[in-house]
Amino acid sequence: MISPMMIDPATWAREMFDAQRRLAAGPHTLRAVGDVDFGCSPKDAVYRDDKLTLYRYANPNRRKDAVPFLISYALVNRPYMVDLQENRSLVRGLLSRGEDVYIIDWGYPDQADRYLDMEDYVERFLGGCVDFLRASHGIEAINLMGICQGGVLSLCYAALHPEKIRNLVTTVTPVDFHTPDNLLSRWIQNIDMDLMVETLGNVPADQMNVSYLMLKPFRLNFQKYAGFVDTLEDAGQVEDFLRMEKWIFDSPDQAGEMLRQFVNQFYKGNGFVNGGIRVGTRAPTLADVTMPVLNIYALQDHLVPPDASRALKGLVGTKDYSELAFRGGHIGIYVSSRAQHEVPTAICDWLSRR
Amino acid sequence: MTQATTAPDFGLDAWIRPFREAMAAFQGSAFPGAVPGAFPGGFQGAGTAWPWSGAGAWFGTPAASGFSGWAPAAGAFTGTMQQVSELAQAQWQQLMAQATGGQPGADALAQWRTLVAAVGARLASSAGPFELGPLPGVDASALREALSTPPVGPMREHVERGQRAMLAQLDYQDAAREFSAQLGETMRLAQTRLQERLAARAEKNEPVTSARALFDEWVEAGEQAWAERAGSDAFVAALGRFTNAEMKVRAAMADQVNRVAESLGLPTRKEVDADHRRIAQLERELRRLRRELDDLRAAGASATTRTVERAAASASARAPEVAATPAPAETLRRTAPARKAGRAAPKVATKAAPGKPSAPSKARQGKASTARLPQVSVPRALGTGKGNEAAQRRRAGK
Repeated sequence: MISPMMIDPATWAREMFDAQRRLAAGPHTLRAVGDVDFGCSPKDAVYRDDKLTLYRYANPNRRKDAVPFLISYALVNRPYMVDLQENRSLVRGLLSRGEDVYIIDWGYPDQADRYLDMEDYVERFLGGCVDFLRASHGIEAINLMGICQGGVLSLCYAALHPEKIRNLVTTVTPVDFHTPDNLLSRWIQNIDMDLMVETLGNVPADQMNVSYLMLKPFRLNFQKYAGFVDTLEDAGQVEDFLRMEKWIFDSPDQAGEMLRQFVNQFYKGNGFVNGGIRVGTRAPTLADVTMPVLNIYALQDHLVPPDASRALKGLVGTKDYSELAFRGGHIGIYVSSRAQHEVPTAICDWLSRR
Repeated sequence: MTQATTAPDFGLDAWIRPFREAMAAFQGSAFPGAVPGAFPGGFQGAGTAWPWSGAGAWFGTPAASGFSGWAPAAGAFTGTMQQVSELAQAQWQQLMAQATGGQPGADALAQWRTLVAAVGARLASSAGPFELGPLPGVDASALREALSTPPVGPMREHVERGQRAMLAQLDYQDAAREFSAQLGETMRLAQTRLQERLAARAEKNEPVTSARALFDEWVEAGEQAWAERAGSDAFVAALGRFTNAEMKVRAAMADQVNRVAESLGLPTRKEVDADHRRIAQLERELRRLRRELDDLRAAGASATTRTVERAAASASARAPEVAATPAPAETLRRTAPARKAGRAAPKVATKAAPGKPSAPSKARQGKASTARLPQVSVPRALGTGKGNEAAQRRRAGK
């Protein structure tokens, strides 16, 4: 049997030397890159409600018959992930295929928003945007795409107002919150959300981020930055890294009441599966989601395991249900190079047939 | 001209020093006299919303390392890197021994295992990343008994609150130790998994041939151990107790701060929250009333009288649910955003939403109206049309 480690001293020395050189170059590269920009496609604010802003993307290729395509992103991160940079933009893919794309920016809640609840987010904010688009376009129903937590809100809204949603696309959206591989859900079960929200008011974004990082602590806290050191002599790669890094940590605090209801109803109560969801006085159920549904999930998603998303198939009321399994992770589904073609093409092809 | 360093630091100091100095300056100015570690999680325990609350929970106590703000990540990183460094140093010595005529080969794996076991044993002797011990010189059970004794006298309410806060602190320390032990076990398991992975490579004649490959093996072993442990009942229970205990300490401290502020005639968080709650409820009620008004208008003049009576009866029947039955505040939406943006108010659409049910039919259903007149404008640019979100946020003053 040989030694498990046979590192040639020269190899070792070279690695150390290379690492030192890159680290030395790092501050210079970072200063040269400066602040990163994000959000590459032109867009106009068309509607506001308090901190919410609805944007419409400019699109010279817009089809005249295009139905408004509204993107509802998660509350826990900023929506520019879908339009991060020129070569990483789901939005660009949709625009190039003639779609009329709108996106909701939920804003950054502060302590004045700690009592906003599920009904505010589903009926007032999401519903307000949907009604705005219906009225401004003079149509009865629009196309809606929900992402992750935004997908959960979209499912609730579509269940409550099926007549207003023509087609529904969900991406990396959790439906069954109690699948065995859902570590985040496991952790939350013993945490007293009522106590947390009563104590903190809004839940700080940093606290949320630490939880996400600890799902894969060695990769996300160590390996990622070791990889970053490898790129320190390349301004382009550093810029890409910083842009992603900014997105990861540019997170809004979570409105306390909303998060309390979301965790208790979905993470703990598994409401889509077990029932009992309340949005104000109403009780949405997936059986009332009767419009065509395209459900896209990521096979290597550690935040929303595939089974958590696939559960939609057995619960949704529509007979027109389609799935797309993307080979990638929770974020790769928007920013990986393969996603740039695969995801918008799948969405637009699916829409065009309906 | 740059000054030559006396000892190789691989360029790390150039990275760390500015942050260290900035944090020291920040702490000196923002928290004069503050004692890091005096409360669980450092500053966040005092209710100042220090953003690393969760990080402190995960990575360790800020007091354990020199500067609080970066301590959470720094503590874990330092500890981990120390392990790797020790392994690397020993490996280096082994390589040197081989290069100078040592005996590589048959006993190399045994040497390696001895080395890893020694590091593992040192890990096993530590309590875990928190290193929270009982209060020095204090019998915890006796202290608990004392704190559980009902006080008497004119100050009993104040004393009792103080007792509860201290008990919460003791509970937090217990929970932190328990959770820390779970993390420690996970790290030890990671060490075991690393040994196994390296042994497997040796048996397959695929030794690690670079420092980076060793690091990647360590990462994989760590994730493997984490996947095994972090979802276990014991870990989940410890995490829950730890988080809940921290919240109780923070709540107790916030209560004390509120009381001090109140005694000084200052507005308190509690009072502001109460106002926010009332505003949210009023906004929902306003939206509900506006929705019903829209419904009544749409119902037509001939049916107005009957509809008002029916709607009033319906609203009356729902009165107890008002607080929990929010409805959109259309008025605010229609005007406030335009004022904020410094532009004219958007035009209001005048046509009813398609497929809108009549008010009487909804009243019969006995539930909140869902199809309402969208109080909206035609799409119009409120911004400048530039797609650069950073620029838009700067313009918005974020």
